[in-house]
Amino acid sequence: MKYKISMFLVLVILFSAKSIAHPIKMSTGKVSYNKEQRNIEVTLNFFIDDFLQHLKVIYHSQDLDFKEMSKDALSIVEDYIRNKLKISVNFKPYELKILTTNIIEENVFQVILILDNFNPQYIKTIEISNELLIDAFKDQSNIIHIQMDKDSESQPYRFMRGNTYKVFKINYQCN
Amino acid sequence: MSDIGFYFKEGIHHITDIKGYDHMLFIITLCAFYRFDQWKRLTVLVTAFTIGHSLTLALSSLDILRINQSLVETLIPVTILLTSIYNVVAKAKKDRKFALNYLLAMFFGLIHGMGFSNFFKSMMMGISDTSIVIPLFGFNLGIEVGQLFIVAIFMAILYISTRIMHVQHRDWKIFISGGGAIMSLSMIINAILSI
Repeated sequence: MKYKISMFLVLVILFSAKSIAHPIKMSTGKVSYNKEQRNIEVTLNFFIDDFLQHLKVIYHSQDLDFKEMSKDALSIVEDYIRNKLKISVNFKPYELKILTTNIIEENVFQVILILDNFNPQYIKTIEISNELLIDAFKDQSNIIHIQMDKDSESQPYRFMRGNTYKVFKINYQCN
Repeated sequence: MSDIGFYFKEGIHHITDIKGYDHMLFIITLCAFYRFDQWKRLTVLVTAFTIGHSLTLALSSLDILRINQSLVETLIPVTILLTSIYNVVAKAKKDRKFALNYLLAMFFGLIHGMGFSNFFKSMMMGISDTSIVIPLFGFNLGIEVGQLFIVAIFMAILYISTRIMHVQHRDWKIFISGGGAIMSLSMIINAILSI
């Protein structure tokens, strides 16, 4: 009897092992100052399955593939990010421009962007509106770390539905 | 907010989040076995669970331990189910039985810790070039504080139920354990049906 119960439990575990994974809807990111580029660098990290599936639906592009980033694919990613992520510095808005994309872990797609025509000498505040994938998943969270350089204070923040805008006090001299 | 403060808050939020109730359900089911006057034993038991999950949270988050996450998420409701069954079938407590309870709580803690690390690693994806020690410490501390909060609320309800409303502890234990068993079974069955 104990053997049968043990076998039953093993079968339950085996059959359910693929499906019970707790779905985590999250993206992460970092905003820092790149001294070589003399620009603010925005690094975003997405779960590939969630991000790709959502872009395929809203852009009607079933051929979209992050492993081979065609010009069209890059354009779609950039367009989506520009629509859902708005960054202003000292209350002046800037458009985001993709520098590069990578697949950095098995299911993680990374996009690195800079601010177009960015040139202030002093960053007093950074204002961020982040609605990435919030249109796709009601539980989506987007964690962004603001840290200008390794000597600056890190300011992590979680953006989510109902809480998509934040003003960060930076007070950073760009050299 | 600094890194440690942010991840501390995330730890509390993760364990007390009603939408992700599996960890909370395990703690409640674990506590159900004990009467209000056995709070010292309960404290030791929860400490055992804490030691277990802190260990695997750290090892898994630092990539020293790698386990299939789908398997971990399956084992978590199994720990709840087994604890529920144990609460109902276990008879008189003796010291050696308590030692077994302690070891079981620690072992189940190892499993839950791997579940916590899944969430923590998601929060660190793509930004692990920075040190994760402070965020990990903050997150684990938040989980411990959240856990204490859950136990405190549970003990308050236990006191009201058994000391003021005079519910028999046996009935209380069966009610809580039954609820734990049903909810964990439904998690497991849902998973099977969604294959």
